[in-house]
Amino acid sequence: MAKKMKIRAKSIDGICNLRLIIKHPMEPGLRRDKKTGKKVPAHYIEKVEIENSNELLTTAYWSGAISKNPFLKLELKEVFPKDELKVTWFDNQGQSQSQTEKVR
Amino acid sequence: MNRRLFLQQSFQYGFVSLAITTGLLHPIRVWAKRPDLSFKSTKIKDAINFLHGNKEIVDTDQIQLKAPTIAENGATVPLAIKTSINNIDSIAIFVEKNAYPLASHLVFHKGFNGNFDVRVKMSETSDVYVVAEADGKLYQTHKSIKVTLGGCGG
Repeated sequence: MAKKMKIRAKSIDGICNLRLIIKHPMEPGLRRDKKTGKKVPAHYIEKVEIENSNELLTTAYWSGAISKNPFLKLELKEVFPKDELKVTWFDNQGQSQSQTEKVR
Repeated sequence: MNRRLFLQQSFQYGFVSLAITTGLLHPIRVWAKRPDLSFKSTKIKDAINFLHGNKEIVDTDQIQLKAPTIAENGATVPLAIKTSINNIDSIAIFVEKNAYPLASHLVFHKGFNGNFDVRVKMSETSDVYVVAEADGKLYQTHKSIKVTLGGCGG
């Protein structure tokens, strides 16, 4: 199904710079197909969770107004090299994906 | 394991599993629900009210919203948010003239360093509001962004 997320996490002095790109169409459900004139059904990520060893750090609630293939950069305190950050997303069509990345 | 211990433990486990299924012992994330009413609001005032109630919002320069003044393509408008306010609980981004103004609501449980970037869609030239919640108080900042090509489609 979905392609892998791209996650980069680098920690300097306990402050981790997390960057992630998720492959997702992020269809807001407002657009019409130019050929058929029908509405394109909504398909967007509703929630992204970022965890560090089962401890929830950040939850992002999104709407269809987030760009296609969403990008998020986030600075997190007290995340150190060799910690494992887990990113999970859920979309409005019931799909989800989870991936872990070791902090460098 | 003697009989008494067995009975005791089975009773305890039974209670715990009951509590989990009835929602008493759910992990904390369950309480932080997606603010659906706010996401479905078509006016920015309603969206803020559903999210935070009728609280007073203070304009502040402690939140910086970095964004282009003119965005060529409304489909990807990069926003960079930086704040020096401590104990931020959540930050919401509203694009006033989008069909549904609330674009993103980030809830920080632990370890947020006051800095994040995200890309949003904008249907037309509009003000973008950033509303942050810290220690029960609300702060906001806004910026007008000109869009030459809309990104939400027809």
